[in-house]
Amino acid sequence: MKSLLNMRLVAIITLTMLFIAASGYASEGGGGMEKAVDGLTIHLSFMDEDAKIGSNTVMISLMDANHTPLEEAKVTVAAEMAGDMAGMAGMEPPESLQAEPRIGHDKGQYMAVMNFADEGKWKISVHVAAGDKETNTDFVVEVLEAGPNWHVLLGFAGIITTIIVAAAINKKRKIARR
Amino acid sequence: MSDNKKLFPSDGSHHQSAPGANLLNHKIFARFIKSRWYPQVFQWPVAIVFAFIIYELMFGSTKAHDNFGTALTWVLWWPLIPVVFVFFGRFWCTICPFGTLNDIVQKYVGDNRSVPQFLKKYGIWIIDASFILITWSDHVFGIVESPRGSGFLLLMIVTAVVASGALWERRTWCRYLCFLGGLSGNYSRTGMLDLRTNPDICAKCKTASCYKGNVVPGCPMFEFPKKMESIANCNFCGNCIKNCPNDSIQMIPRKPTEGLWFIGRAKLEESFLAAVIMGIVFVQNITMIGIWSGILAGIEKFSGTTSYFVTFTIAFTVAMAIPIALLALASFVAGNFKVESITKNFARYGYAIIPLDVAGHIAHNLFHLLAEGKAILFTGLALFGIETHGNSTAILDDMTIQALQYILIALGTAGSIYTAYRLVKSNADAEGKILATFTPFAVLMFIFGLINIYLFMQPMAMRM
Repeated sequence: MKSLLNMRLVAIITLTMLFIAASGYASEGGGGMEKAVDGLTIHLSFMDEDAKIGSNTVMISLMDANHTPLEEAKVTVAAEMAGDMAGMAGMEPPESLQAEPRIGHDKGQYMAVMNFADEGKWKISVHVAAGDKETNTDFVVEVLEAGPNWHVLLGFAGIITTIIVAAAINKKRKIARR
Repeated sequence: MSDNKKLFPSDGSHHQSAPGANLLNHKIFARFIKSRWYPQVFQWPVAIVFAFIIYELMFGSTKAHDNFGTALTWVLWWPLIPVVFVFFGRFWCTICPFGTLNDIVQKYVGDNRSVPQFLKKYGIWIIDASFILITWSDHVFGIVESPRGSGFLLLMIVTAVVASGALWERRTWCRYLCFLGGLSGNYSRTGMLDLRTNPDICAKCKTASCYKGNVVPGCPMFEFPKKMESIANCNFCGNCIKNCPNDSIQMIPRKPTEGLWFIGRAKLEESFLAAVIMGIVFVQNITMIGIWSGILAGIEKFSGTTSYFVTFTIAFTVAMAIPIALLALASFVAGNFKVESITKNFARYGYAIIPLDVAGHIAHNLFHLLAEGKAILFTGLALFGIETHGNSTAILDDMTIQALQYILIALGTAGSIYTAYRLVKSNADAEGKILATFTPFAVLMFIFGLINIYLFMQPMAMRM
């Protein structure tokens, strides 16, 4: 019975740790940048607080002149490396990305996944077409070199420690029983 | 021990070894294998390098081309591993850091439970499935191109190894669960090193120390050397050599692919993996060459979606299905159109694909090793602040690499055709219809060889 409880405890702790590890990839970010163009307010942010090398979810929120969320707009996002070196003769062509965002969780929100290959300044161009109006707005974001993902590391460390501790307790009990 | 005696080959292909062929007849070598330093002298440096690789992958640069861990794993280790299997069989599994970790966990906290029946029964299928899943995930989630992704994969394996070592006896992980276990088992059959026993001595043995343990634990891979049918599950860890009180164990060099010339009990799952690996070699090549964008566009049109998750899965499934279907077709034709013999032929002659698998695997990765090999040096120097950006990572030029790839594929194709011939010859059921049975498989190996040559003719993209 004790052994069964032990197993359950290990399973619960392991699942919790696994959840912590997995949640490392899904933490909601904040902040962002906002620009008003032609009566349209465009708010750009990332799901993780900062844009980092690798896969990033870009969130774009649109509001019209009455501060009402703008739904059913056609939004496209393009990104390319900005800065002095980009596009210079003799240099490699700048990295460029394009995406068509899908509708986000909130009203007037659009989301797209962009995979930044390099750190540094990136120009993100948001093109919005709503009715007969079209606007194009540029944002410059700093893409950072991603550090270690502590959620993942701690999650794994937790799971491994739990397994080893449970196995050690189990072995000690077995030896004591003999 | 008499030198000139008929040895019982582990793979059942009865033949006589030349006196002195047993490497353990060389005193210094035998003393080293029997010493407590073997295999620790290899295990600990590998474990230290592995720990550093994990550190680099999780804490180092997130750009693959700047990460030393990525370079060591995918530019050095992955291309070299099949070469190690060809020369030394599964010796890598003895020094593999996951195996070492399993041993440590087991020694201190292991429960040493028996291997569950389902693992014994379906172990290789689980290995097949996990190998396919990891290859698929690599393409869909970009594991190789992402240091963090590679680190995440290694940590998942570490966790599973710790769990396996804590629960089950010996190296259950390596034998029944490791995603590389099926590949290493298959590849090592082409290997140039064999482990055999002296049947005269073993017939009188009452201790079975090689299996049960004596000086050191018994065979970690659950093998009983005197009954071992092939080298596929021997790690050359030396435990049986240390434990045998009668010096019955022998380590014998053999010709490449010789371990495939006679298959005692052909296993469908092992042949299935051989065919799947051929499909994976196709996928690995196709996704790195120019025609890939055209194929993707075609699949997008056909499936009506641009989701890479869907389009790649379709391409991946088709690429793996092609060798399986062709092997099934050859098995059908070779069975003189008797439907009942397809499975039997598939299981038996699927092993003939293995030399070409090995050749294709090495040839593909040869490009990464030789065209990107200096990345190991550059990323290593970067750890000391020496930047080398802009320098070519190539060790050899593309033409030379391509020529080497063609040579490898030619050797692999010849090896596969010859293996098919030997397998047909060693099969009593095929007596009197050797040509009719052999021809479909020879044609199949030739077709696989041609497909590989075509793929290697295309310019390939870099890994880092």
